[in-house]
Amino acid sequence: MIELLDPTREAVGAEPIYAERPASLKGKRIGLIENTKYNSDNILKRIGEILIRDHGAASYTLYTKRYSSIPASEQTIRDIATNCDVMVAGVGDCGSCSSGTVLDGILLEMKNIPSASIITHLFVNTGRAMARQWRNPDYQYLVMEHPIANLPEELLQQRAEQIAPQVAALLVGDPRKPMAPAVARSGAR
Amino acid sequence: MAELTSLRRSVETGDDAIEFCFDQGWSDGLPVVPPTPQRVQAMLDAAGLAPDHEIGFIAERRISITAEKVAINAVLAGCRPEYMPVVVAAVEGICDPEWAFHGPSTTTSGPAVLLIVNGPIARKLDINSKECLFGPGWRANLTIGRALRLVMRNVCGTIPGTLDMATLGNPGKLSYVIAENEEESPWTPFHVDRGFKAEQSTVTVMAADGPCQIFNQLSDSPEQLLLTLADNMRISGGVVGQTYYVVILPGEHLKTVTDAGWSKKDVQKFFFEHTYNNYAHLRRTGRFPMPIKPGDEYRMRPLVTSPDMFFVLAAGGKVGAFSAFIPGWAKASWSRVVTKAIKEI
Repeated sequence: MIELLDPTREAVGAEPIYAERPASLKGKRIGLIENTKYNSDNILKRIGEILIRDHGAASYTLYTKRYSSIPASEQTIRDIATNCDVMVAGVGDCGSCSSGTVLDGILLEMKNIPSASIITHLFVNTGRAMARQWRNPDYQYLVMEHPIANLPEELLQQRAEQIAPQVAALLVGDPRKPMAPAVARSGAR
Repeated sequence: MAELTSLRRSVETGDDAIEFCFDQGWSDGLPVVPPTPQRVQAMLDAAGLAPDHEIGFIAERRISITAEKVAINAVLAGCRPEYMPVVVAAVEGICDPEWAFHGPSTTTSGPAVLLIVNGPIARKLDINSKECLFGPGWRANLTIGRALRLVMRNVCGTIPGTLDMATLGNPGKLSYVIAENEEESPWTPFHVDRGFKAEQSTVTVMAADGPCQIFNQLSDSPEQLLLTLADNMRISGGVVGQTYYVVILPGEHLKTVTDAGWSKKDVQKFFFEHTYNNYAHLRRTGRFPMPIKPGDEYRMRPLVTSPDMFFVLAAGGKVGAFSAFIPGWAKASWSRVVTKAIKEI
């Protein structure tokens, strides 16, 4: 018999962290973290408008990352933790930015801010791998149909309308309960 | 001496240890050397490192990379123990916040990690800087880069389809290691340009596309020869992002340029001045959003942000009318090129 040493990171196990959820979004201030990818700001602002229109949220503030492949800066995380009640991040539509967007959600949950990270459906494995790296293997994030960078205005609005109810549900519901894994489909493309 | 603490896996006598390693998902697709405690200890001893010594920490993954994990992966890759200090310096490089690990390792654009080795250690370890620069034949070139990639895979989770989402990647992701041909270059070595002493040994890490070769056997002056390179570089990898470019000048082309008295700075300035694109072209070809605006035909965008973003290296074979350039990843400010001193004992 020979012995071999394991070359992998052996850190396993889970330490899931979720912020406490509010009963509703009524009067809540929303922080939006856009990752600089084309149309991310467009779609997040539309989601912010819908959360105000349909769920009584008070306002939204848009925060922009320095670039898409990194988590939000410590300053942004501090600002949102201070000035916002809930957070929506997106839209992760590439390898490093989808996992970066999932990480934004995890970092804000750790600051006790309920969060909804949105990535596109081709990157679900990447998002899940990032969640595992942070020992939060079941971390809930939302999935939108890929791509969004080249969508015309009317389809952007359609995507926002489709995903906004899921965003609201994740921000107020118990995130430990599994949500329907459905991808928001535009149907038009 | 601290003990090795990694999980120990038993392989029964008569079973194939290499197949066992494949089955665990520890390989990049090629056979590996089974990491026995004796081999791992020899690797650590060659660098004078305790197993629990932290080589680097990647904040956005909460990953601490210990000397023991680096040593195990260096064994898997087929490194000789004396390569370990180079592997360690390379791991320090990719853990440097300036290199910004998460982006270049996870991105769909799929860069490899180019390692450029300078200083006396390149000769000592027989790291190739000459014929068949990017090709096979040198154990050090092929295993040092492979060890780095295995650390990324096994320790950092950089696995295709999850946290390595490269659409295409490039063959350098197996191993992408070159040395500079310092002894046959009249110019200062690259690491001296980067602020190190000539007698120091260093490794530079750069997130990089594959090498692009150019051919010119006609020109006997630097201007026309370098124009061939500039013409190819002008529309290449990082045209939108303004990244870094490594330019490799092998024997014949290097001689044409240096015999005419050109310095490295002259070459960098020439490249900078001859690689501008106009915005109309960048919009027309989908690099920037349409529509073309008035004046775009004459509004110029430089390929890089300053002449020193072209790293001009002497390397490659003595004969042949070829040179090459290597575009860096995305945007220089997203992942800085990092040079680390190699610590030998």
